[in-house]
Amino acid sequence: MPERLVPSRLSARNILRTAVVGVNTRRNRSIMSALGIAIGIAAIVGVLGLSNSSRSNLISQLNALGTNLIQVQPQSGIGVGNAQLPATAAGMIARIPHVEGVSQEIATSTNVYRSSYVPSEYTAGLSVAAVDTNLLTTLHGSIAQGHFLNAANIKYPVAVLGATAARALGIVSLGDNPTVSIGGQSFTVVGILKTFPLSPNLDSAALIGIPAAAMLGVADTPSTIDVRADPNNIDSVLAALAATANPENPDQVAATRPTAQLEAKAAATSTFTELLLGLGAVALLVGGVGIANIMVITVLERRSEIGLRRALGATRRHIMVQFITESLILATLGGVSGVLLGVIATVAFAESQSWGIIIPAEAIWGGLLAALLIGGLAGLYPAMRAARLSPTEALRST
Amino acid sequence: MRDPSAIGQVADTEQVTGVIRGDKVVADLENVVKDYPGPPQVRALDHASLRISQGELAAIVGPSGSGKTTLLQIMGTLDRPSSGRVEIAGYDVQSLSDRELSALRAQQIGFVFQQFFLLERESALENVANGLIYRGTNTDERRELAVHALERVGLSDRLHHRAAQLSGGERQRVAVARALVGRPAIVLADEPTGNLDTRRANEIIELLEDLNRDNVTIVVITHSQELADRLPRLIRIRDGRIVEDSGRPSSAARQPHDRA
Ligand SMILES: Nc1ncnc2c1ncn2[C@@H]1O[C@H](COP(=O)(O)OP(=O)(O)OP(=O)(O)O)[C@@H](O)[C@H]1O
Ligand SMILES: [Mg+2]
Repeated sequence: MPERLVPSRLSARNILRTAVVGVNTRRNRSIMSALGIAIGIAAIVGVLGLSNSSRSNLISQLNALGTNLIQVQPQSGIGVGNAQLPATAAGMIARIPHVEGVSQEIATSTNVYRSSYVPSEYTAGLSVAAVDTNLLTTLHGSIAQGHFLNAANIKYPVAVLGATAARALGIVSLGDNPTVSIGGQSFTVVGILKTFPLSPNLDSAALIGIPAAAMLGVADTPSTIDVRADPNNIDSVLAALAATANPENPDQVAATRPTAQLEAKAAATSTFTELLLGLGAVALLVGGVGIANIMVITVLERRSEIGLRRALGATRRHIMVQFITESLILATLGGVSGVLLGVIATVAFAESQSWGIIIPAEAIWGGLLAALLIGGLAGLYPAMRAARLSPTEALRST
Repeated sequence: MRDPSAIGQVADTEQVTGVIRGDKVVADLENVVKDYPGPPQVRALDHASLRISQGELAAIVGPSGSGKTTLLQIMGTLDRPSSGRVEIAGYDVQSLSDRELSALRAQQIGFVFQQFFLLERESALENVANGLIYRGTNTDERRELAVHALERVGLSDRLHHRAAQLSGGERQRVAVARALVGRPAIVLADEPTGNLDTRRANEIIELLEDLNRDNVTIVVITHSQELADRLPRLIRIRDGRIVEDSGRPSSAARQPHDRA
């Protein structure tokens, strides 16, 4: 008996050669069947890219604002009546260990007008608050024009306007030393602020010095005390706050962290994101079914090619590998173009929102992997059918 | 690497010293029966016995449905007989697995079909080189051997034409080149002239005769008695039975090679 017969192993390159024939022969159809996968992958990569970019934008905002701000306010509620913080509260709080900065805000019942001729009921919703000179530092706020209250000017009738207040009062520039009317007195506007993301009520307020306010007859009980704590010891500061601020009635003290909401937002994936991810997954599934469909048709149409290859010496396994590879090629085409599309969409949208661009690597690898997996699964059944054909059956088809 | 100019010659001649042309059997069929399961069941081959020796050029003729294609498929190991013994290039087909039969076809058998079966988008060269892909021949050697095979069939000026751009006669030449590029022990052609006009058909038969002069063993099915009459050996089949064989000493009508 002559030597043992062993079918040759096809090299990866030759497997690709055999598989590329089909993709090449029906180019339009190949593109269409890859499209389903592309859309699915693009949706998933895009959604993950966008939600991550927007989250990273939120987190960088948070970092700028600092998550260590605590706002202390009187706790009014049923049975409490008109709770107040003692005038000494700020000084006491400053002595709590790990407190890095304390500023008071004192709400007033006065209003601010463009001039004394404006009827007093036209408040435009603008308020007046007396504040410490270090408020800007404590709140991480910043000035848009002019300067803030300081030791030199707090005794005088000068005011700093919140962004909304300035706009409402029609004051856009400090060039001609604009004045506003507060409590019947004329106050010179020395500064305009940018918005306070953590203390939005200050945006629509005119801020004056506490000594100046005292001259208007404003009480000295703070309405809000802003506290900056050491970021690593926020909890211990929080625990000590109530008793320190109001030793007699600690239950009349409310301490909150204004960034808590933003943090929750950054941590949560929105249901909208989940919905889009779901849609992407459905598109992927449909794409996979599309490829499976095309592969079944391909195998039917190419029976004679299968017969020829068997006649040329292809084993069943050679045929199987050829068609699975063909399916993998289609899916990879779809996967790669889907990832590209998703990345382009993310970059374009993030740029338009001036966000930083974050595309998780897992989205890209995951997308390609999912495409390959789907391609393999979609090709499995048609390839098995192709391999099961007997050579004579396959050759008889035309 | 093998000498490419040796294409068109039988692989083992030089190794089998002392064997004269025609002595080495490349296909040996004994009492082959092939039943296609029905209903109704069809007996396509009915105790057919046939022996093809190295270097022969044999024609198979017979009416439509007489079992010619079935016979060729069994010789080509594309199908197994229901009973009987088949030995190709020294291998007993019955003892071989499907994988081993595939390897046997890759190494020892070349096919030519009436419908050509070329890959339309691929060039003539690639189509012929594909004939070697399952033999494990590397890419460069495949190309080189394919170029020589195409030269051998007179298509050296059509190497890079796509199959779709070739005429029927040219396509069949490409298919012949693909069948012989691996220097198989036997080339089996099922009505290679069936889709060609008389002139192209003649050219293909002349090509087969020419290859046979280089010691290629060829079995060719044809409907044309006229073409068959030109060939050294004629096998006639009717209702699955071999009713005439000029190569069998008992049928005294013809002897092999006496017409060459
Ligand atoms: N797969 C099959 N299943 C059932 N019957 C078949 C099958 N293949 C062939 N036959 C039958 O076997 C007989 C021989 O067929 P075969 O194809 O070998 O004839 P042929 O001589 O090649 O005919 P033709 O000259 O028309 O090509 C025919 O009666 C045919 O109908
Ligand atoms: Mg036939």
